[in-house]
Amino acid sequence: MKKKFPEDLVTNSKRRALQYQHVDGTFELNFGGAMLLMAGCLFILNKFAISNDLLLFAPLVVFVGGIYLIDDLVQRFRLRVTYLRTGYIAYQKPQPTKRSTRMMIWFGIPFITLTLLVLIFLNRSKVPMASQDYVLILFPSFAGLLFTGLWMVVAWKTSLPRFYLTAAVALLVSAWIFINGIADKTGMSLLFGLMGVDLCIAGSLTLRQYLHKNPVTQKASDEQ
Amino acid sequence: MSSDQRSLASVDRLIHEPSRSNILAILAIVESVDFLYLQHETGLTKGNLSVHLSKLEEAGYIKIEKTYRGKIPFTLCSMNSKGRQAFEVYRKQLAQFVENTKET
Repeated sequence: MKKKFPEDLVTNSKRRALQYQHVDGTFELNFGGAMLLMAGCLFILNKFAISNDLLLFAPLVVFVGGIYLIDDLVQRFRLRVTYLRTGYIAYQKPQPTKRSTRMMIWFGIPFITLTLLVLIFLNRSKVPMASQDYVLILFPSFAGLLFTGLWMVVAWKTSLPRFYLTAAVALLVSAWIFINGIADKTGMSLLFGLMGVDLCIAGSLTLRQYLHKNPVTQKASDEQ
Repeated sequence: MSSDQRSLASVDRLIHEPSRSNILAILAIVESVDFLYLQHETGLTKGNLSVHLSKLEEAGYIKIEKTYRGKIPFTLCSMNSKGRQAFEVYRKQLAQFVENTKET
């Protein structure tokens, strides 16, 4: 049902404030960079046939650590580039109930899924050979489907069509990996590598467009 | 004068100005924003935006704070509880008016 003024004004402001988080493409660059780091880590583990069970968690540590490190760089970049061009928003802290739901969605579900997949992977010797292959092939495809779902949620929440495209790419990559039967760490490194490249390209294009549209205005933020 | 017209006549005139209601709609959903963001979103000139912000600050609806993030200066605007309350009342009055006057 179409909403009416004054709800429209507030809803529109809320949507635009949410979209502002993704205005310069740094979100994609951050996530894409972390994914490329993880792909590199998986590639090294695979290339040198490192089979230590503890090292299997290294890509996850690299991914989470990478996100934090790159996020720090992104924040510095935004302070010097984005905020000087189009301004700064301090978002309201979500209410405790909303925050816990959000935390559960963004960290809980991927964490539980990845933990389950890692457990299945670690215990693959206890399952018959046919099932083992099946699990190894499903592992990267399932992770790809998870990314598809996450990008769909981002696209729906922000009403930004470019995230639907990212979700479609994640779906295509996971389908391609599944059809070709690329399993285990090779499949995972391919998934993360291709997704990382896709996100970095999308982020770079968005940033380029943003910088082109918004040339810097001298001391604009302080001329009240 | 009908009750609908009376309810419309009683709305806060300070808020019932398109630019200022736009500013308050933005401030209502964030913790704070800087001057530049408001200027981009409202499409107002610096001078016009300054005047509107000053009026809202004088009414005690918003708080304007000059601060720094690192070495970069920011003019941060935020809505206080009085402003939130006034804007909420205004929204309700307008929504009520729209509801009562819509064609069946």
